[in-house]
Amino acid sequence: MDSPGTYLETNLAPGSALLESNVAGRQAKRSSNRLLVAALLMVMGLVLIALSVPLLPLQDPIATDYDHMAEPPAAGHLLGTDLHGRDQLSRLLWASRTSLLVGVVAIGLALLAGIIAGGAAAYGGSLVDSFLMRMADIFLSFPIILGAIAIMAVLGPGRRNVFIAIAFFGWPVFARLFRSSVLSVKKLNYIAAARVLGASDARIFFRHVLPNSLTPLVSYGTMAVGGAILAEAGLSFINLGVQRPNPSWGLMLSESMGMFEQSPWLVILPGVAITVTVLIFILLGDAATRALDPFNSGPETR
Amino acid sequence: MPPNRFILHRLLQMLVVLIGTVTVLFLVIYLMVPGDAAQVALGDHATPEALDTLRHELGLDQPLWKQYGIYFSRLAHLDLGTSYELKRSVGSIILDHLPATIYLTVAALILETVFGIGWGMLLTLRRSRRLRAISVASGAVLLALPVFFLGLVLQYIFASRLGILPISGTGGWNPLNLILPAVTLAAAQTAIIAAVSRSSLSAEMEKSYILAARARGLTRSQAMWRHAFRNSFAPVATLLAIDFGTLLGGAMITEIVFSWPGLGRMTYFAAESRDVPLVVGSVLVLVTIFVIVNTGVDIIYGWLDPRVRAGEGVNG
Repeated sequence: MDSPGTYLETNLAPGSALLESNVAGRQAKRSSNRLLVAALLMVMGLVLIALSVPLLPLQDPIATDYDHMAEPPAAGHLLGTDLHGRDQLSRLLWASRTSLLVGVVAIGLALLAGIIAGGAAAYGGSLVDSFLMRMADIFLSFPIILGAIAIMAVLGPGRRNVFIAIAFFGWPVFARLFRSSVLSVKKLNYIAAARVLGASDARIFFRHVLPNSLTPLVSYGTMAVGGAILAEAGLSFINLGVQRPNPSWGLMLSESMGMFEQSPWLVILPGVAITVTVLIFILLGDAATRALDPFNSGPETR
Repeated sequence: MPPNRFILHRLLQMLVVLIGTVTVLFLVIYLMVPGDAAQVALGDHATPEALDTLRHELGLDQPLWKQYGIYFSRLAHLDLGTSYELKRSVGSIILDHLPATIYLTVAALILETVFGIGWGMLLTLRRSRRLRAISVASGAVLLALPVFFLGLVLQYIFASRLGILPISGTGGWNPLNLILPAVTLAAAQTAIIAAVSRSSLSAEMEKSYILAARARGLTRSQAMWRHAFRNSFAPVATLLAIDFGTLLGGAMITEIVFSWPGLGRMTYFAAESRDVPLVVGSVLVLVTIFVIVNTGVDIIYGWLDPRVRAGEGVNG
């Protein structure tokens, strides 16, 4: 009864759902690629700023000047000075290095640990698998800031311990993602094909399984960098992260938290700096998720 | 899985996680403390005799596995140790500060439930591109805003400038004092709840039973309220349960900004003075509450919804 002709006519007639969703899908794909490029450019901009800070003609971010305390933005100090007379612009820019470094190093460590644990879980047999996954459950039951507080209480404050604290409680999500991703890639035909062609286990893992299993980790990892930057800012805000007089946005906010009335720029600028930086990483993570998702074909898919 | 086996399975899993948590904290304290706990407790100027006495009292002269046993048997008697700074039992200090944190957390949880789900419903019913774009953008900003910055800005606007809300403290449990900290704490999670409830609700609204309901003459919003909402609620409920823990732990910075006398702020002061038993005790209490609440929600949902028992639930 249903000839192919009628099927196509009903489904592909102008305005029909199928046709519409295909067009919308292509549009969504194109706009998500544009978003990805824009987000990548913004992250590259951030990295470029952070790298070029030592080369810029900035004032000393640490030298105090008690003759010029909490001055509003003016020609000498474009973004004003803080409570110790330090140049706010210089401190903001130097602090961007701290934030990016913490984000990249802490998440890099968590990613590495997650790949090792997730890979071991996927390859090590059911005993290793259930042990590692229960470990992941245990670590996931700590809200990250709380776990970090425990680590900081034991190891003491400081930037290096911020790396450790974030990585210590950050690895389980990467491990879970990598494990499930490896398990699904291992089942694919081209892995079997490589095995038939005589490739060694190591070669199959490093050439085929590893690169193809990293996709979900990339988008989650990008967002996690934003999360790590927020965590560092939070820890520094409560004096358990980066220590004085080193510049960190969280620390700058905590030093001037009582100054909103008199010198709002001291509070607003570091706050905006954190928000914008984290936002850029969230955007990149989101754009990467959409661009890398092979099933992203409709405007409703997120 | 039959209901009873499912419950047993979840309880066993909870027990494993709790024992693991205690073990992780035990290892954190005993392997990572530079020097040893007695030195940290008594400070740098303690006499060797005093150190030896305390080491013996704390069982530090025993081998690791024996210390682990002692630690567990103490916990079994609900003994969390003694605070280095306050010289009081950790349990009683925690009990003093827990109510304020629960009060704040529950208020924030209610806010994010109401506004997050409301936001998600609005997006499901009004399928306008512009509203969607504005929501995605503002949600991302809420996620990126550091809690302490949001708190300071809200304090400035509503307390310093407009003078309509108190700036900090509990004001003797005055509900007005609760508004700013609760909003601050709930902001980021509200955006997440909104996104999850929108996608879960929209997916439910595409199902054929909604089409059938619409064919019977229900409007979209009636169909949503009477049918789709209930069926789309499982992922939101799971997320809310997880959020309860996130909020409990995340309340720390909010409590500090608003001088809220809760467990988080107390833990912070303890961490600053490196009062290890107090920090570890309150982290343990918060994590335990979190794990119990999570398991409880899972069990309730597994009981109500056979799909969860079969492993189709968000938590697997």
